[in-house]
Amino acid sequence: METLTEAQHNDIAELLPDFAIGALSDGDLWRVEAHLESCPRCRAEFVQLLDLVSVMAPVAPPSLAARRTLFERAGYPLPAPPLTAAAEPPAPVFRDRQRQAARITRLPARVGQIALAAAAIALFLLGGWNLWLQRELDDQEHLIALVAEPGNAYPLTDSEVATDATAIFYVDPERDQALLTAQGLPALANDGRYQVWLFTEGGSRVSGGSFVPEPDGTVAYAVEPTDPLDTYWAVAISAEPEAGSEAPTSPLLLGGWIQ
Amino acid sequence: MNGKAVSGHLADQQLADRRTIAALAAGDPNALETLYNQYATLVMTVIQRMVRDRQIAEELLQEVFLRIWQRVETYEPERGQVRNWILGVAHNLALNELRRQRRRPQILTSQPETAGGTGVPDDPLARMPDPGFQPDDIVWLRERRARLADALGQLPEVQRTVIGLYANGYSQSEIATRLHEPLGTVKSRMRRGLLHLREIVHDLEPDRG
Repeated sequence: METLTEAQHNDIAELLPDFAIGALSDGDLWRVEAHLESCPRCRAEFVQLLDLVSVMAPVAPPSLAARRTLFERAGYPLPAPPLTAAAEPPAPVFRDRQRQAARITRLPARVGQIALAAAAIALFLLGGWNLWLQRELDDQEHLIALVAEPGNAYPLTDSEVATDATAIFYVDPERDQALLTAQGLPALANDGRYQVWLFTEGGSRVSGGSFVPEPDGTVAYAVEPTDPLDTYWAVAISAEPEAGSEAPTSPLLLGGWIQ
Repeated sequence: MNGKAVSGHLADQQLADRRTIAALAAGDPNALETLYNQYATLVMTVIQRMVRDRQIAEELLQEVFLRIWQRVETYEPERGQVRNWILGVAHNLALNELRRQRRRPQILTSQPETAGGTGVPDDPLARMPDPGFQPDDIVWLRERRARLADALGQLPEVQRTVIGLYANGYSQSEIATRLHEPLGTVKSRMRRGLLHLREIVHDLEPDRG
């Protein structure tokens, strides 16, 4: 294990930014590589730099060909897509908002039934006593109509964590209201609450309020943002302290696009 | 702690990734696709920033995920998060490529032009965007970027400028040239800024290691 003075350590640490982007000469490269093997502090700084570079200014995603070639080489060739795949993406589903929207549009009966069932269960379990529903009991019929309309439903599928929770965000553009239904939300300790976050196209966020799910992990929560709903492009949920937070302080549990 | 009944704390990203790694070790190709969808663009960014060639970056991207697929047992949880391991593999392979280029630059520059790195000239698929993953379509990534941007906004302007340029692909020498500042000044601003940034991000993300 090498022994360096603090000055020597700092000398190498100053090379880390260029090391992370491959801008060092060969002579400096081996010095940094050797140092990283034995210096946890610099390894942590190096990881931070990779994070900074990859998150702050990502390049365009790799092409479809790269994915196809990878899986061929791994021994699991993907089904051949039609050459019009850019306009009509193939079936495998991941977190793509266009395909989420398409799925809802193409399968209204199935999604509508699932969504309606989920919302009905949540509403039944809550007995209609959600605060919003207390204030506006006459809106129940409207709510049922809202969740029955598949064009209003946006499943929240992005997650920073492993979770079995599921959620759907229903948007009522006429009344500028939204309803979040969820199942499988883990109970939070210390009177923690789930907080809803609304994101604008530019990436800024506002709180959409907070809620505590039922003991069985279900919730039907009315979101009434201060600005028109069409201001927001995405929604997410995180676990926060009882008093709420100005910004998420834990990983996003579920998220999705609402435009 | 399990994903369904978490007491007190939510499972974090590491748990999700480690589940995926376990599935990968069991030979599940869906796990490979999960990791690819999660990290392909981040890996691509690290590599492309280094080699500055999109075609080579796509070839190296495949090597990264093949290596992960074939040598998943080399992941050591005690050495850090899966995400950092993947980015580290990417960085190593890109460094090797840079060394190779420095030894034999003329060979690389004489490669026939292929689109997208499949080695097949004029392959129409090569230019087709991958619909499976778009970084801006991942809400958590947007949130992570927002957190970093928040943290950057708290830095003194001189540090923020240097780190902002760096995040956009400039080396420290290039930043010094662009700002008409001595290289030593840029390096010290960068270093102080990064240390400061880490403190802020740590405060913003108390649940992260």
